[in-house]
Amino acid sequence: MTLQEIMNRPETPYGDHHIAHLIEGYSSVGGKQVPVLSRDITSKDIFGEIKVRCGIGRYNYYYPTGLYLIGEAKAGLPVIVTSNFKLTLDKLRSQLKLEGYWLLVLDTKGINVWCAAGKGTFGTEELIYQLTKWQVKSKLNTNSVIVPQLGASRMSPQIVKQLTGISIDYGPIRAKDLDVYLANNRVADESMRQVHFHWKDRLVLTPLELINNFKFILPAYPVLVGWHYFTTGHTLSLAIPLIQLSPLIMMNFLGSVVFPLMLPFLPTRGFSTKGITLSLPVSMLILANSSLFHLGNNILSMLSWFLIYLIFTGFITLNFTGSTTFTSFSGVEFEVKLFRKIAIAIASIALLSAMVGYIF
Amino acid sequence: MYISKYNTLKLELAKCIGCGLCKTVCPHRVFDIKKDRAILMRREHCLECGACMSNCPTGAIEVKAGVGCAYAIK
Repeated sequence: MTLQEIMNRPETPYGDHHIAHLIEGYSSVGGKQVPVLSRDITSKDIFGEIKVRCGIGRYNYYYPTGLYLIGEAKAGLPVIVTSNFKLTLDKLRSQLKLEGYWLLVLDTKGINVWCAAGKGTFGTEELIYQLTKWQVKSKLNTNSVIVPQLGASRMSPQIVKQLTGISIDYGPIRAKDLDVYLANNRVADESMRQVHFHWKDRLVLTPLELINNFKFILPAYPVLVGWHYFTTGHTLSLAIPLIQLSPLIMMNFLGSVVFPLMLPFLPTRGFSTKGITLSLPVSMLILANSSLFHLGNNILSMLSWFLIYLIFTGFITLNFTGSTTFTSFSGVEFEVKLFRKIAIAIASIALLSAMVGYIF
Repeated sequence: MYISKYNTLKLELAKCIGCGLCKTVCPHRVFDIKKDRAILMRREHCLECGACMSNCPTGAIEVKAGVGCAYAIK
């Protein structure tokens, strides 16, 4: 691709409502006004994080692309490249203690660096576009920029250098290591270059998983009400289907909260199988107390519920693959294709069991 | 560790010039540089992000890069 082709594209305008409160002033850079951002994390930023962690406005937590300054402008300040996901910006602002630095913000459509890199939005072309648009080499008088290591997936430093004259220095994985990295003359040690998935990293993902997975349970309510009407000829109390669905709510908690926390300790390599090992004992316990949940004592309808609990948990834990730092495309492809076949077979048995149980 | 049996990562040593970029960018430290050439130290930890392939100046690395996400599987 030529530079002209890269530069010849429309820009997406992003409102600055998420960062307006952080702008302390402006610095003039080559005739353009560059916002100077504060390092403070305000209550607005904290609430913003809580909201997106719960899935509220998760895809609209962006801010305008381009150049920003933190600290005071002076010669030799490093240029750090990042995404236009506002949460990433907050982590950088709060964790990087460096006296002054430029931020070059790429258009990742409000997505974090690593996911955007996988999609290609945080990549060679977008970096070249912003470097050229803001004339970083000449206006900031620098020959290199720092790109977060997780931004490397779709980055070709050779092409960036060829078209802009700028070299890429790959920074550490985590923003909190940037100060040491810069003090060490942009050298990262092994620990800075290894991605982790500690329990705290897994814990912060659980609210979103829990909330998102509820949407799979909601349609079960009208289905159950309809099934009762079909099998008994009249509508039962509307509370009974809720009680019958409470085990699924428990499965959601198991799959969305317990599973991520216990991930390293669960047997088997597949996520769906790990989830099933977790739900198996709980499902058996529930069915041993089937009258409590209004599940009846018909062995076939109990079998049906049992199979539904297993598939549901396997399904939601399989979806967690997209939230981890270590699942590969080929592995997930294998597991998803296999799970789909098995889930269809088990769902058919569950349905057949329910119907035969009803008939007899 | 996840299912690594179907991993598509390939390193063509003949094209490798030992620049070390693959080692730098890999988030799971799959590569090391020994005697001026890249070697695969932890291939089973590869998540196929494609960073090594994208950064390799000589095209010595090939991988079917994608995101390890169930929603992405057609």
